[in-house]
Amino acid sequence: MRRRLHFGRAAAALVLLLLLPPVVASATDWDWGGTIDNTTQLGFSTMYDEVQLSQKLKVGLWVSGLRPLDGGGSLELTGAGSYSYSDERAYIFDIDLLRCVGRFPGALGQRSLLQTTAGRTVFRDPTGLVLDHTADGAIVRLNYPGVRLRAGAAYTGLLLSPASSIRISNTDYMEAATDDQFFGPRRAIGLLDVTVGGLSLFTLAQFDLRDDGDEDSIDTQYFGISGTGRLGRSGYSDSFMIISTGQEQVGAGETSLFSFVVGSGVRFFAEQLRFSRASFRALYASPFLPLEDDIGFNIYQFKPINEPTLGLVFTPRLSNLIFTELDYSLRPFAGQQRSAADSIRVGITGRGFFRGYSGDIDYIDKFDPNSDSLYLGTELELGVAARVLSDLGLSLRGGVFVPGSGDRGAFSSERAPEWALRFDLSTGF
Amino acid sequence: MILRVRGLAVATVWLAVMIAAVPYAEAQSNVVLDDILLQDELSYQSAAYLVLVSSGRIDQNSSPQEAVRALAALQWAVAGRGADDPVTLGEWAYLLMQAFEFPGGLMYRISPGPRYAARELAATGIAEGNAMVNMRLSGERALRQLGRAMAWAEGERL
Repeated sequence: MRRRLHFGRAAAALVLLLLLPPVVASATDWDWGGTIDNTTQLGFSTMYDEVQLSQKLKVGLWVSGLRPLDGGGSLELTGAGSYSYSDERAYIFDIDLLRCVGRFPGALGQRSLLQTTAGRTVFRDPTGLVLDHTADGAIVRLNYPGVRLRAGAAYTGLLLSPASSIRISNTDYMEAATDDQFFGPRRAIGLLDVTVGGLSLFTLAQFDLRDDGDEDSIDTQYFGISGTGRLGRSGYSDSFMIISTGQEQVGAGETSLFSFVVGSGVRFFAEQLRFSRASFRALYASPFLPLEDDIGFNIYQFKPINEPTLGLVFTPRLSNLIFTELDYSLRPFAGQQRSAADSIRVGITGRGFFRGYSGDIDYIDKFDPNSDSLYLGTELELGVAARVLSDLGLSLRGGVFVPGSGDRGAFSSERAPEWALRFDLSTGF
Repeated sequence: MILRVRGLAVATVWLAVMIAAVPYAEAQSNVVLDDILLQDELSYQSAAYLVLVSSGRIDQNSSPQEAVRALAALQWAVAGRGADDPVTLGEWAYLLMQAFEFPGGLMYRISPGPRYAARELAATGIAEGNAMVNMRLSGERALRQLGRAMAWAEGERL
């Protein structure tokens, strides 16, 4: 079985590589370069035995080839590989991108733009909350004025396990915690969306391709609607609703899943106020609600295909969660004319975390099992970021998570406040 | 799209002011500008003419051939390029960087040249779209970039 599995992956990789030589050979313009990204994070808390230091360094190389086509179209090949060092692993060599993009203006009507992408590329749903991850596959986009269509299919089994955050089932999370998996979870993903003006209708589905009877497997489907509207001259409102169905198989038993996530927010941008940006958003991701006796079926915890990052210190899963975030930032040195300090942006963010239902969240430590409070805690973040030079970006973020404990919170008194300080450096060559 | 139109407009206005200011230059500059706009691949002498005139280093009624000689005198000449040879985007970008004395990014300061000049143009938004160091560019695209480079040199944001 394992041999067949590896053969399948090798064949898929071979097909991927066979698609590329014709483009490579025909490209007329070439360029290459490198990237260096470093993240250093310190964590402090009376809960920790010592200061937690984590370090991640990523050095990447990319190459890009472009062949212009008649009629304004083009074929573009991009390959990007990297070496990563982190505290957990001394090295990971990975392929971050390996894709061919074809642009064909006017291919399906005078005002159409057809774009096809094949290879390893980023797949993202319109909200970025269900899926925002690289995978191997193909995307076809067709744009007309005011209308955009997109269809895609991908396979995640060729992603290296440490680089894959495609985690849905308990087996996925267990594999992530061990070193014995070379590749990430094998899943097939499909997506289809249509956007008319500021309104998007979209659907995604993922299918667990593992066939080991000892493991649990989950297939999920997502049906969403998202919209963006103008609020005055410099404001926007965003809203979305995603309903998910699923089939969870554990041994011989199968459970049908139904869950949802809804959210809304507003954001403002004021160039005249030193490029101020302000935003507020709130999300509700369904918990497990035993409603079978009332409505005929239970509601289950929402499970995205990969987890979005919601906070700096406290990053719960988008599941059984009410999340609120208020953010403000500005460029204090930005005047009428551009200057060296122009790009410095300082910001402050407040986040509130609540459970959607007073059930246990088993992956988070130090819950008070007797508490029925929904309040998880509050996070406050301060940050400063600057693009010091066109190819050198720096950012420093500090944050504190104050857990809700005692009478008003869901945590036990053992859960203490946690602090984090994170420094990011990004450059290229 | 707005930036693209604005860049071309700035460059065109600049050339129009030049032409109006010096009657003799009118005929010659018109011919030069028409020629540049029609070039599918920007020639070396046209690149030299554009960057040196726009940065005030040579007189506007100079010829493109004189611009090439002036470029050599400034020690900015691109080795091995004949006057009618097409330039790459990197070479054009490097001429712009030198002409407008843009400080450039970290790598440009360490290793100034066409590669990191092209990156700088892409990062600042002076070069829209693909900005590969060895690609050729049309005369129209060069004029648009010149307009945005002039705006950038004046301290505007792109």
